Amino acid sequence: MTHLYLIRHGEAYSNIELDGNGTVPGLRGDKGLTPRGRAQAERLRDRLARTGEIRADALLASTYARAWQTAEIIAPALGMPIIPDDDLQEMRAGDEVDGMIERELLERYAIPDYRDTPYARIAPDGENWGEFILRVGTMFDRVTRAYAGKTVVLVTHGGVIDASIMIFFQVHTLRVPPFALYTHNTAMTEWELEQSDGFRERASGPARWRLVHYNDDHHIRDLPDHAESSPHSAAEAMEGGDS
Amino acid sequence: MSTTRLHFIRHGEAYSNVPHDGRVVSGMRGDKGLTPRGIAQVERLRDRLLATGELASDVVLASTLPRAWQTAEILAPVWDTPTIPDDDLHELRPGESDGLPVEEARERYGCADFAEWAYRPKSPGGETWGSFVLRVGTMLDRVTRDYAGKTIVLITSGGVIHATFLVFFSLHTLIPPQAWFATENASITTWEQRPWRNQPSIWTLLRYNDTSHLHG
Repeated sequence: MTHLYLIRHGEAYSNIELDGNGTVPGLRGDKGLTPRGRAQAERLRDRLARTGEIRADALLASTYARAWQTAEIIAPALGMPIIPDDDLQEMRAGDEVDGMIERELLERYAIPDYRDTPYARIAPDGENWGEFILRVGTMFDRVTRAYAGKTVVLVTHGGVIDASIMIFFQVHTLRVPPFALYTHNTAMTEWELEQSDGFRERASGPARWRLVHYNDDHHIRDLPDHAESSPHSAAEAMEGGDS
Repeated sequence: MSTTRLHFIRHGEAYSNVPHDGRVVSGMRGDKGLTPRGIAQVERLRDRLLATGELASDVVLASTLPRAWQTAEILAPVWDTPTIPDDDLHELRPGESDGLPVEEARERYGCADFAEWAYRPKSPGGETWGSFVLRVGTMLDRVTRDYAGKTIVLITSGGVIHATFLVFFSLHTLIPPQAWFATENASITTWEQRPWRNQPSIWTLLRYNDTSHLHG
């Protein structure tokens, strides 16, 4: 059985700088975790160290600062080196605008309404929705084959976690889904690739993904202001590329 | 429009969940209710909810299937409101095989696997996959209209929780989905429908299969 644990990064500056003075948080512009985001990741590290609930064979992380810093904090609890994987990055706003002050971005480009124009992109070299989901689906296929039968931890972004649901449940991938997700900072989402269905063995058919947990944030529920934890949804991921 | 929130609670471990000799098809007739372990799971959930107050709700609905109703009875002290019985929260209805030993039902009616036989019931009089999901979708429409803007607890079975994904994700509802679920006994799954900018409101999955009270 192959297990994937998808962990969203801790609270990042890009989650709280919503006044237009933040930077577009790509590879260059991501300012990383806030003190609260670090505290959230430390809670997760301590939980994983205490429970031993994940016996990881590999730890992969997005190379965006907010995800990479999260991975650095939790890595000791898993006893694993971190393998960088660019395909775990959030939907890319484009190299041209990466690091730009968001207010300037809005002066230069209109943010498309993706429900009306799903093939639009913020900047000419940014990803559109379909390209993003295709990149993530290709990553899941690669990782699942490379680590068949193993347990893999992926430290990544809300949009990638949304995409896992769309890909494994076979939701239409070229338009914005007709539902939303609200993955909390440092929450865990677990998938397993299985051949058996409860205590009834599946006699035939291809292996099937099972959603085991979504948005498990037990370790941060008693942190102050948890209810204000930065929201994330598929639609928001497309409006400035931040999650 | 304000937020409508649905908390689904799966029943505790039931005799029908445990492989054993003499296991029977567990519809309204055959359901033998919760095991001692199942009762303990639900008591832990009740204690968690009483301690945290996290599932403050306006309405509590429960399936009348014995394993769900028994779960609702244990959880009742959590809320001030009486539990409202709702037959539309039943697990997929097996038909005339209800109450027969599982082995005997298998010999008599075959082992219907919905992946191959989506349009056939488990036994005559039972629901097909499509009719089950339609019944759940109709229930969700009714409940969210009757209690718009409220927080509603639904104590039910795994299949209803899974069918809700198909409805809210707009997946194909006549055949089982490509991915599946691992909903544990006495777990919580939460959905929310809230105003979303100028869009028609859509459903947001807030958590799936929260069983932290069983693991901590």
